[in-house]
This record gives sequence, structure tokens and C-alpha cells, in this order.
Amino acid sequence: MTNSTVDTSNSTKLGSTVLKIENLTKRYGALTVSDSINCDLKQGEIHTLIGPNGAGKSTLVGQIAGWIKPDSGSITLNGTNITNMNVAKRSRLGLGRSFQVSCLAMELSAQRNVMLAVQARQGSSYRFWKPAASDQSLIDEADKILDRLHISEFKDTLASQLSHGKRRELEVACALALQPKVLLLDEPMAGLDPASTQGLINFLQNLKAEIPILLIEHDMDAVFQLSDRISVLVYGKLIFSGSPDQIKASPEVRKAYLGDD
Amino acid sequence: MTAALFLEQLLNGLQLGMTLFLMSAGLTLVFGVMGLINLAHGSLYMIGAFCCATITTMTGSFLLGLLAGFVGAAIAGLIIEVVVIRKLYDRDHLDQVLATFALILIISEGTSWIFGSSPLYLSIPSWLSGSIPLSFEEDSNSSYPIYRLVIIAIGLIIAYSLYLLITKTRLGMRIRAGESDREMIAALGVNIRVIYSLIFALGAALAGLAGSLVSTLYSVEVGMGEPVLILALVVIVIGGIGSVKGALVASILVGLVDTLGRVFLPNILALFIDNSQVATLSASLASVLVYILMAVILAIRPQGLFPANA
Amino acid sequence: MLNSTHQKGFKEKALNLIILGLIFVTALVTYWLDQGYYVNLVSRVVIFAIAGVGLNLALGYGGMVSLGHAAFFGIGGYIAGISAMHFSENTSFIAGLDSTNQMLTIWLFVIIICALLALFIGLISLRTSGVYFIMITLSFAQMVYYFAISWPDYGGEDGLLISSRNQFLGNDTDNELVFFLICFTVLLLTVFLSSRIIRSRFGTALQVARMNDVRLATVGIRPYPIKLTAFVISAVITGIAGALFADLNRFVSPDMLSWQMSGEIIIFILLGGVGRLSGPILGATLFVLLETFIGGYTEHWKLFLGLVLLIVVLYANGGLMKMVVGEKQHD
Repeated sequence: MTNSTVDTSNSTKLGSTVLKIENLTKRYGALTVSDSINCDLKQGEIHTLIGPNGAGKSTLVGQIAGWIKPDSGSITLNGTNITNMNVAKRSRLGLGRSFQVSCLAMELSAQRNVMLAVQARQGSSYRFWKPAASDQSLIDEADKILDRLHISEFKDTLASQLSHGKRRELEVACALALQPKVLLLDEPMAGLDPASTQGLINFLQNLKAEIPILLIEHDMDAVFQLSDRISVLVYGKLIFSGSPDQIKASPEVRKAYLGDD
Repeated sequence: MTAALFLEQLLNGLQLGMTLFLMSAGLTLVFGVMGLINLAHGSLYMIGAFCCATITTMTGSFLLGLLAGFVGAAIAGLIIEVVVIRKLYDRDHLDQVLATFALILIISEGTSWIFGSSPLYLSIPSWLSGSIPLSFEEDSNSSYPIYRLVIIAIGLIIAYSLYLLITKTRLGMRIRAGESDREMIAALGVNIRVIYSLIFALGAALAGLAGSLVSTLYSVEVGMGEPVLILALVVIVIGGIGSVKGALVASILVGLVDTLGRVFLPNILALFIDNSQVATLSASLASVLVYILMAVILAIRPQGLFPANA
Repeated sequence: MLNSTHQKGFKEKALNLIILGLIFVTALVTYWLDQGYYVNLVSRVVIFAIAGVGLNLALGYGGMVSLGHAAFFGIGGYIAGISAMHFSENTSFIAGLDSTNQMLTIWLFVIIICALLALFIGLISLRTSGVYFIMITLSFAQMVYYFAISWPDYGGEDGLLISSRNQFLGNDTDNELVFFLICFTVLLLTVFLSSRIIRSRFGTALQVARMNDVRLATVGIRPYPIKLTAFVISAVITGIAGALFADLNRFVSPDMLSWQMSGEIIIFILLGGVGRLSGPILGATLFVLLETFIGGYTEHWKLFLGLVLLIVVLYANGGLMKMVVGEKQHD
């Protein structure tokens, strides 16, 4: 089932750094939303970023994905400096992501959404003649991924008619179709019912050996179940980074974040 | 090329700029506040000119004519807003373009049905028809028509009034609030519909005033609004859509570049190329100078000089 | 649900064929009845339809509301007109190129020039979006328009008469039916071409660029070059239509470059149905019918065009296609 992604998982050693963020700084006027952030993601792990609202998580995600240009600092993906690359190029280099607010081609079916990602990964969007909808190489791969996320039954449903939760899973499916080296998931559990949340947790737990995940999440149960490492972002600063147990034990974190909850 | 000639063209450019400002102020406000692109703004300019010409001819008073142009366009604007424009605020730009294009067709054909296709002419009233000397040298006979100076003055007065309106009054505060947060202002219990209608009518009235003011300089005819509309569109793109300040700066810039380019470009080009092609080339080049200006500015600043929501 | 989707898709295909068939038959019948005027009228519909099919690619499928496609339509026309003029005067083009009156060669020129111009305009205007894009495309078309007006060598404001139509290989293009057949073939080719493009991988990317360009970039496809490519193809098709239009009327004038023309090309699409293959054909038909029949009663026929347009925009979004076969499908 995972044949198509085997080479990415084996090519990099467990524990080696895949994504590296160094001294990343972004200011909006007098407000520093990213204050020389240093952070990394290693092969085989889930690294979760938590923080209260307004801590600058979205800005950080924006900078990693390429929508927001940092003032200084650098972002490195598998040894390549991607700080000044556009969004599309980062995706092609292996940065897959999902959005906090669903971002899909709403007028297309779930299957067509995944097929678009497959097409993009094959690097062949300047083909003008052959119909894409009946292209077996796109269909087969898309169906495999839909199957893997257990949303095959919705493949002919328009994205606009999917439930909120199914859209989030579809976004993960699109990200996976890119065979990414890194996954950046922005609150994937938000809006999911408990059963789907547990399903997604199990799925991500299995996935992390294959693709390391940088997770932004509010659901603390999910965070503690999934994370190998947790970093806490407050007012644009990473104030703490450690294992779930260390996080729970840290008075600093309690004061700045958990205590306020 | 004397200093007096240069001054004269400078003033001409300024006058064109002020006419453009009256046109573009409404256009940019309507876009900035309601998010609407209104191609029929040129029709309101034409309606103003026709009202002015008709009333002036009937009563013999140009001042009454001006008032008629201002009020007539405002009423026309109000009707258009209530009947059509109101339905377009939540539509995409394509629908807005097409519906307002349809309005142009309807208003233009309707006007030519009523007034016929021959243009109306209006002369400058005698009390405004003098001119003042531009040079103090004895033998110079260069002078500048007072009427055009009046247009410049009116433009400046309107610009200042708009500044006061937007920064100092309650309506202005609501305009600015509406710009940033439509829902919030609706939640505050302010009737957003009325505000939108008022803004649209104000923009229409200013366009009508512009049309009335130039009705003594050019012929009043169907189709007079579209060339000015397109220049006004260029102005608000250069100035930054939604910014009244940008509209003022860009109006003057476009007015000056267009006027001075047409007069002086042939002379400048003749310095470099000396043959008969120059006349043709410079005429072509001068007529597209403002568009080149726009392309250059947009290549550097895609959001215009004064982006409204920066 | 799936069944009805397929049914609608089938209905739309059937309608496409019926429309094309009706156009073809109308031309044949009117020619057989010796009504050359009406054959030319059908050719006029076909040419407007080609221009609309071209713009539809950018506007309907790519979401690029270009209010400047008259530039390409007019330039196509001027290239045909200028070629014909030089050929009849037996003079050469600017660069010492031999003049020709062969349509195929002229179209090649049209393709090259329109593609280059569209590339240039697109490079600048596609950096922006929304209203800015509309206004910049409009402004570029105005530039071309004013150039044409102030360039006396090729007629300036008065336009340029074409003393005899350009030739298509050895055929007699002055014959109304021959000329219609040329136009009709071009229409068939462009419809076929754009139906392939829309369904292709490129077409998918283009339509997602319209629906949600963030999604497109996120999967690793840059929307900008995709849109630019579509804009260029769209311009080229509209340019060919312009060349045919000049030959049909034996006349080109700056009117072909005017922004009203740009508006009218959008109207062809809108009346028929935005982003529908046959939309522009239906729309162009309705337009020419209004022009001919209401225009026969009153010179103010555009008043009625305006009213129809307004009603369609406000109350019947989706145009004729939607009335006949229902909502657009994505297959």
C-alpha cells in the first residue's frame, strides 16, 4: 500500500533533521510576530507547536509554507535553503500542508482534488491534449490515497458538499498525494467529531515513520497522544521545547499557557 | 518655447487633472467602500453635462445649469443605485462590469433617443469669459482664460471638502468604518444601505459637476463620458483603488503628463530624430503616454501609489 | 445523482452539436435561396463566436476578466487589412517582407503578433488581480486603439478598406458560402481545440487557478504561468477571429479595437453562458439576431441589448445554456 512512498522514507536516516528553522524573525510595524524562532523537525517524529491564540502560529506557518516573507532568518528543507522560494516550488521540493480553514477546489469532486495533487507531483501540468479526468495513472493513485484515509466512499462528492471533517481529511489526502518529505498540518483535528479525531490520530501515528510531521494543534489530548516533541510559542517567541512529559512538568509552560486555559 | 507657453500648458494640465479628480473621487470611493467597479460613472458625467446644457439654455443662467448638473446626476445616481447597483455589491467583478456596461448602453441610447444625435453647445457665460495675462512683458499677448482657472479652483475646493468630510464628519467616519468592516458597522445599527446610497449619489453628483463644468469647453454629446471614464480608471489604478488622496495625486499627474506630453513630446523627439516620421510617432506616443505611465507605475507598485488597505 | 450528471453532460454535448448543425444548415439554406446577405450574417455570428470561444478560455475557465480582448481582435483585423493593402499596392511590409494575400500566412502572422502582445500584456497584468486586472487589460487595449487612430499610414481614424478579400489557397473567398465554410471550419477547430484544452491536465490546473489559486500553489503548480499560457492562447484565437472579421467586412477600423468591442466579446460569452463550450456560440447568435431584427426597427437597438444584458446579469446568471441544459458540470 505504501509502495509509492517507500523511497522517501528509506532515503533519509531516522533522526536526521529534515526541516530546520533558524532565527526566523517577522515584524509588523512595532509588533514582532516571530521573534528569532529556532526550531527543527527530525525524520520519524511528530513535533507539535502549541500556543495561545495570537501567539504567532499562523504567521509562522505562513512563513514556512511561503505565503509570508520573513524579515530575517532562514528555513532549510532537506539541506536546501527555501527561505526565498515561492509556495509552489516549496511544495515541489516536498513540503506538504493542510490548512486551518479548508482550502480545496470546492467545485471539484474529492477524487479530482487528489488527482490534481497527483498531477502536480508527476510534474506535468503543461499537457494540453489528453483528458485528465479519465487518466488512469491519476485515478489509480488518487483512489489509493483516498482509500488509505478511508474516504473512498466520498470520492465522487464535490468538495463543497463534504462535511467539515471530511474536507480536513481530504486536505491531508491531497498533501499525501504530493509524496512530501515533510507534512505541515495546521489544526487538522479542528471540527472533527471524536471518532474521526481518534481515526486521524491513529493514522498520523502510523504515518510519522514515513513522513515527519510538524503539527499545529489545539486539541491537547491529541497533542499529548501524538507528539514526540512539543514547542510552546508565546508572543512570537518559542519559550519551551521538550517531550510531552517535560511540557506537563514545566512550571514555565503552565504559567504562560496551560495555566491560562 | 517660452515660459508663458509652459505655464499655460501647466495650467491646462492642472485643469484636466481637476476634471479627472471630480470623476475619479466618486469612482474610487464607490470601489473602496462598496467594492464595486462602476463603468457607468461616465454616463453620470454625461447626464450632468446634458442637464447643465438644457437648464442653462432654458433659463439663461449658467449657475442654475451647474446646479442642475450636480443635482440631476445625483438623482440619476440615486435611482441607478436603488434599481440596479444595490444588487451588485455582493456579486463578482464580472457581473459588475457587465451590468454597468449594460447601463452605459441603456443610458447612452436613451439619451440619444431623447436629445437626438447632434451635439449641444454651450458658451462660457460672459462674467466668466475674460482672461488674465500670464506674462508681464510689454509685447507679450499670452493670457489664460478665467473659466479654466475657476475649474481648477472648484476642483481644489471639492478636494478639501472631501478631505474634511472623510476625516472630520460622522458620515466620513462611517465611510471609513464601512471600508474596513461592513459587518461591524451593520451590527452597530447604522443603516449601511442608506450610507451606500449616499456615497453613490455623492460620487454621481461630483461626476455630474465635472460634466457640467466642461460643457462649455467641449460639445455635449452621447459618448462624451467614456474617454473621461477610462482616464479616470487609469487615475484610480495609479492612485491606488479606494484612496481619495491617491485619486487627487494621480489626477494631477495624469492631467499634466497627458497635456504636457501632447504639446512638448514632438519638440523633445525632434531633438533626437529629424524627419517627417516624428510628427506621426510623437502623436501616437503622446496619446498613449498616460497608459505607459500607468504600466510603469504598476510594474513597480502593483497596488498603486497609495494602496487604500495597506 | 451520478446518472443525472451524465445525462446533463450528454444533453450539453447534444446541444453543442445541434447549435453547430443549425448554423451550418442556415448558411446552406440561405445560400441556396440566393440570400448572400444572410450568409454573411451567419458568418458574422460564427466569427463573433470564435472571438468568444477565445476569450472564454481566459474569462470563463481561467477567471481572468479581460476587458481588453478587442486589442487582439483588432490587431488580427489590422494585420489582415494591412496585408491586403500592401498586396494590392504591390508594396512590401516594413521589414522588406513580401506582402501576401494568403490567409494562412496572414493567420500565422496574427498568431505570432497576438501571442507576443498577449505575453507582454499578461506578464504585467497577471501580477495583479480583480479590478486591477480588468482595468489594466482595458488600458492596454486603449493604448493600441489610440495608436491605430493616430497612425495615418493605415487609415487612422477612418480605418482601412480592403479592396479584395485575402485568399484561402485557390478558393474564391468572395463567394459567401466559401467564406462561411472557412469561418465555420475555424470555429469547429477552435471549439475542438478548447474542449481538449479544458479537459486536459493544463485545463484542470487552469480551472483550479480560477476556483482557488492557493490550492493550486499548494500542490506545487504556480498559477501565474498557467494563467499566462491560457491568456496567450485565448488572445491568439480572438486574433484569428479579428482577421476573419476584417475580410468579411472588407474593412478594418479602430472600432474593432475599442473598449466597446471588448465589452461585446464578453457579452457573447455572458448571454450564452460563462465557461460553457457552446456559450459564446449561442450568445453571438442572440447578439446578431438582436442587432439585425431590432436594429431593423430602430437605430437604438443597443438600448434593448442593454436591457437584455442587465436582466441576464441580475436575474438569469448562467445565460441561455443554463436555461436549456442546467448547471455547469465538471467532469
